[in-house]
Amino acid sequence: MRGVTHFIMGITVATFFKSLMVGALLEDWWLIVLGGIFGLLPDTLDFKFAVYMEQHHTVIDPNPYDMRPQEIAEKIAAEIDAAANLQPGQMRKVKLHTLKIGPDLWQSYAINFNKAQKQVEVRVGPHVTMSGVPVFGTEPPAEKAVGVAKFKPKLIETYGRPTEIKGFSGPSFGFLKRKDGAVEVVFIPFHRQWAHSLTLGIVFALLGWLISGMWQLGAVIFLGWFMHIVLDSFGHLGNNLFWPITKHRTSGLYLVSAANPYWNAFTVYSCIAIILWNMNMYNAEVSTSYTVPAISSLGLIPYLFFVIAVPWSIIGAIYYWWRQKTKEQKPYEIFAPPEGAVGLVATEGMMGMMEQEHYYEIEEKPKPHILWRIMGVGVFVIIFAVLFIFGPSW
Amino acid sequence: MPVVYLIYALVGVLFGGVLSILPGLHPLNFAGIGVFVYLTFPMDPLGLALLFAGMLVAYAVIGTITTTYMGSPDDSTMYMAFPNQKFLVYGRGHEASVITGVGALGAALLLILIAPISPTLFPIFRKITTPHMGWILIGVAAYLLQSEWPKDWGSRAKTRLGRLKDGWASLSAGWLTFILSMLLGFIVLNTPVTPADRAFQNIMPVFVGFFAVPWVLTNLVSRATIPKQHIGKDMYVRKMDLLRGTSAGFLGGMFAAFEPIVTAGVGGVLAGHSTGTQGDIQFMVSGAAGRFAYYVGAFFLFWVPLLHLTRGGMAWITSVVYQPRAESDFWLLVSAIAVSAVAAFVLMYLISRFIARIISGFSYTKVSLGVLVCIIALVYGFAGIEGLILMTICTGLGLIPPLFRTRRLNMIIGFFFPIFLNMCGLRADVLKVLGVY
Amino acid sequence: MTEEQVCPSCGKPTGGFVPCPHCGADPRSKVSMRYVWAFCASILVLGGIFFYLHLATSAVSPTPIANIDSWLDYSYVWIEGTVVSGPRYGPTSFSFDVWDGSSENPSEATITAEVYSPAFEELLLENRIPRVGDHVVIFGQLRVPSSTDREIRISFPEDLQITEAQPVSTTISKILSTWDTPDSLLYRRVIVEGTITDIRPLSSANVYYLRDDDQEIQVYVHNGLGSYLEKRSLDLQVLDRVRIEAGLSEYSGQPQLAIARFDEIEVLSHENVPSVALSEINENLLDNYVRVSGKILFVELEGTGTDLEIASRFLWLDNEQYPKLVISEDKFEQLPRETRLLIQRGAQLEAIGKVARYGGSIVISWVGPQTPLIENGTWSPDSVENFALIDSSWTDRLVSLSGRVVSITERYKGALPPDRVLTVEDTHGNDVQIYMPNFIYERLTDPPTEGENVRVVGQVVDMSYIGSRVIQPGTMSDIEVI
Repeated sequence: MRGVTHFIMGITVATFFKSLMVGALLEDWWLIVLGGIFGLLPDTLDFKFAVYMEQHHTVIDPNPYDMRPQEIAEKIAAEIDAAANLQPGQMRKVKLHTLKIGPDLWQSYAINFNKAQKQVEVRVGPHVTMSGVPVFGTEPPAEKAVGVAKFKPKLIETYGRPTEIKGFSGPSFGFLKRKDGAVEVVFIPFHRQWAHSLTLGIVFALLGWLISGMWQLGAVIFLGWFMHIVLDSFGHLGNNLFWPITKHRTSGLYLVSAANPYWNAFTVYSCIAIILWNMNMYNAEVSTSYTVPAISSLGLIPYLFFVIAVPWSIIGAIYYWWRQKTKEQKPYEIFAPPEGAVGLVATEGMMGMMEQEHYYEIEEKPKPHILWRIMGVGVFVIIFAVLFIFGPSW
Repeated sequence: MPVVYLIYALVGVLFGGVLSILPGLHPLNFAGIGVFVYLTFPMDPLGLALLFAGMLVAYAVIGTITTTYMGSPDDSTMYMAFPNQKFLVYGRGHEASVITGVGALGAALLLILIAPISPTLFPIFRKITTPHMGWILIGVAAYLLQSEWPKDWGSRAKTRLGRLKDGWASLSAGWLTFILSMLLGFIVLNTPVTPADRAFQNIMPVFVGFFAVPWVLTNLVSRATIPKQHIGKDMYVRKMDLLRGTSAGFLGGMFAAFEPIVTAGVGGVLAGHSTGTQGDIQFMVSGAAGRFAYYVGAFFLFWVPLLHLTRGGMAWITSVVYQPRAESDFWLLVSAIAVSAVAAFVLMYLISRFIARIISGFSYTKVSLGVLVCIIALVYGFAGIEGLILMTICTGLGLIPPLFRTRRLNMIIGFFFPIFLNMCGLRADVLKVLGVY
Repeated sequence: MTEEQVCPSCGKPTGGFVPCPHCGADPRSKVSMRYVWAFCASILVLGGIFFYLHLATSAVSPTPIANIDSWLDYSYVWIEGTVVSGPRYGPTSFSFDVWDGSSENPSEATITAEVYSPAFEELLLENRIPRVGDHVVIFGQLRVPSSTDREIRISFPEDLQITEAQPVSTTISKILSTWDTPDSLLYRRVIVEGTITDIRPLSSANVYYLRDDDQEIQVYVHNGLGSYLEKRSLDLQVLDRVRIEAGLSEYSGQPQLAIARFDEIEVLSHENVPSVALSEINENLLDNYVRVSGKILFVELEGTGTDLEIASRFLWLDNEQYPKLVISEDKFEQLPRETRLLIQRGAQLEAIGKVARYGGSIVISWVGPQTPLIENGTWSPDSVENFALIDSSWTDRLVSLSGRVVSITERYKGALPPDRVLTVEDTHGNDVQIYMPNFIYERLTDPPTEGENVRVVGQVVDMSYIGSRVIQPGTMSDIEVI
């Protein structure tokens, strides 16, 4: 899910705590915001720290004006072969750099892991804008466009199509030696590891509790963090839940795509609706002037039904109908000229508004069993049920 | 004859339209001009209020022309400045203007559509959220600061520390921008920097310095020439982009209009993130819709019966002479917004065609120089020499984000942060830490 | 070059590529301007609908007063209802209370309306002052610091629309007998006749008592009416027969007539009160109004006992044995300043009072409103040179004496400052005690100290509980440091 979704989800769980809400009303407390901050913190740690901490065995950083795809393919294939000789559980890592050649212009290339033929395929593409719009006439000639290199081990890779390296910061791959002897391709291995573990969430929560002396604050920190992990699990990538006890991240539940605008907007809206419900409920504890009795008397279930379920069913139906209808059309951009303010702020114009995680989110593994997926949703429902029932006494 | 009030609004559109094509002018100045109109031409208070409504609508719709053709964005147009100017460079300046105009029209339609439920909906929001305003604003600031991701294009440093340093260059610049802006905010918002008789124009030099001047300065060093503009018959955009851009922009703009201190740019980012805005067109449309919803929406909220929300300079000025009295006045305003929005769009269409015809072959340097002179003259006119000094300081700050690829919004969040702290009762503590007292 | 090979967006040749290699435009996703103009037309149609709505909606939409809570602080609203009290005038504003019946609890359905300059002056000029019983429609800004403190502020005269209520002629007894019944005249304008029997000054208003057929009702006249609006005092005398047109309001559950302008009170006749010699006043005259005159021998202040305030003044006229004339301090404060200054020993006074019993004695209770006749004069009782002469036969007599203060002791009065007992010695070395109640001592500008010589006028009082007869001065002017 997007950062704003995680943030507001953290805020939402915090607004269930009566003591914090009454504190906000009477003492101008801002502690509720901690829910949001810790709700977003796992991604903050990953993309502001962990990404730089990752050590790579091979760094692919070609000269954009002399691409040599064969060399790239060979280097990657060599790493896969090297991974085959590792102990099970160990990993070789490769970093693929993006190639900036102008304010909003990048040399693109793509990597494909061909499992059937046990070969790495590299194809050099045209110049592209940050979002991947190709520039007319910049494709390399066919003889300089492709490189192929063979590897030996059996490769587990389920993405099944090329990974394009375009604008922004490039991805990294891990080649993990499995117990069965095969090598598994792990996309951006630094992501959703220690910073997306329940253990670290518990540590933060305990620290928050110890420092503030309020168990509620510890609970808010943990729940903000935990909801991030739960929401992330709904996507394609999972999390390394019990780091450092567990070493690798699990698969996601494949319920929704993290970048899907409908589900993000739906979650943000639903969170706002629940926050308003909580505000209305706790305002009544302090002053009748700031409550709307009609909302309270409506009851929680009808409120959720009419305020969230009904409108979003309609919006969802329209959205998916229209998306289906306009599937072929993609949003487009034109690349920026290299001069003037337009060139200078090229990075801000688009990427300032986009979020990195969305850029990285690709499908990786087959969908898990339906029971796991139901259980994932179940955890979500149970947490909210507990908050709705017990929040007013916390 | 009630229809005369719609004519007031149309006169406002004409008046505002002329003012809107002056680069660097901010609605705060519109409020100042509103005072001038009020003092010079005493008229029916309701008529004057609707004249102001027309002026605001014109600013929201026609004002994007300066962003497209002259490149002098403000907080609300920052995120459409980039794609709009790209369109200009590829000869599609007029099309860009029309696209943004359609975004503004879309916001107008949404504003009109929510009008019937506004007297019920907004008072409920206000009633419930008023006591929580402090932490909501702190939350907005916290999110914007926390959600800025590094914008490096892959550090080549060999060590972890080296890569961390590279990655954090832009993030640190972002924090530095925030902190410096906050210090500036403490000074400017606590002491009237501009002359007392023009005190409400205090913030105008700040906005111009943050956004317009750095953009114009970077354009000034460019040696490019504005290419021949093609005046096409249609727009080449996906309807989905128009729909999503308008919805996101409208939501962000209304959030900003409703919440104190939150500006259109901040609201736009929050709504953009929430709805997954992507692509040039969506940014352009959402920018225009957000701008319309922010400026006109704030004025609209001022008229919602029993909401008693006075946000934005124009609403404050209007409140001196006129207070919306009943639902019938509110319906009249909604009607005036509808008529003004269409009139402003037609006017914008004509002005854009005219500029597109004459602008080709102009050098960016000359256009930017002209714009810079215009901006300086306006700031001097509205805020005096002190305003120019303030503008220069803010320009220095405003140059940090483009140079270090960091968010310009950090300036806005930083600048208004003292007010956030004030609302949370923390201002005195921070002033103590800063050694102010 | 054919038409299809030119990009319709940027006008450059595309070479058949889609999207345009120059500008990225995709001609397949086109939005025609025709749609945009149709969109504009639909917005105009909606604008037309809202304009119709504007014409069809009332320009006035009152908010029920019971719905006003602190959330609406600073908002502008319409309210509509009946004026139930006021107007209360200030130097640049007036206020009144409006009730709209929106709640069964009257206080929840009532709000105070405040009119400020320049609307205040303009409304006065136009003589548009809302009075109890009038129906008003108000547009103004709410100030609601708390749910019990609610006010609506009116800034422009046109924001106050008044529909004047027509008065009904009635009697005091009818008002009282129908009170608390469905036929009650509450919040109606009434015309009644009666006799003014007394006045009760309050800090912000005067309450007159109007009697007719042994039935009494209060008439409320706000002080601001005379001070700021009429610029004169209300010319009423006790026992005046008056006809009053006023709104019937209520205070503490009792009916009260609220006066908005002085001309609502018409004096029909004036009753002359018989003069009675002080020596002839006895129990037979109890509850009768009498006119008395005499020289003031002594002014005796009485404290409240609970604080340092003065409750009333006993005026000793002509003879120490005659009934005293008692004036409560609120009525005293209401007298013109010159009159108040003249009320001291030696002045000649003629005033109206009602014979009453006070603490077992017959007194003449000062009634209002009245303008007493008073002439300046001075008088002191006989001076005593030798304090040893003051024995039990002197009790209740007035004396003057001079001497040196040899000691000052205090008699504590709980949380209040103590009373002071001064031991004063004459030239023969005999002493006497001067008892100064705290409310007198605390008002002395130059309190005596040990060793100083003082001159005291006072009443000889037998205060056996402090061990002797003492001299008790009546007012501050009875003690003088010499």
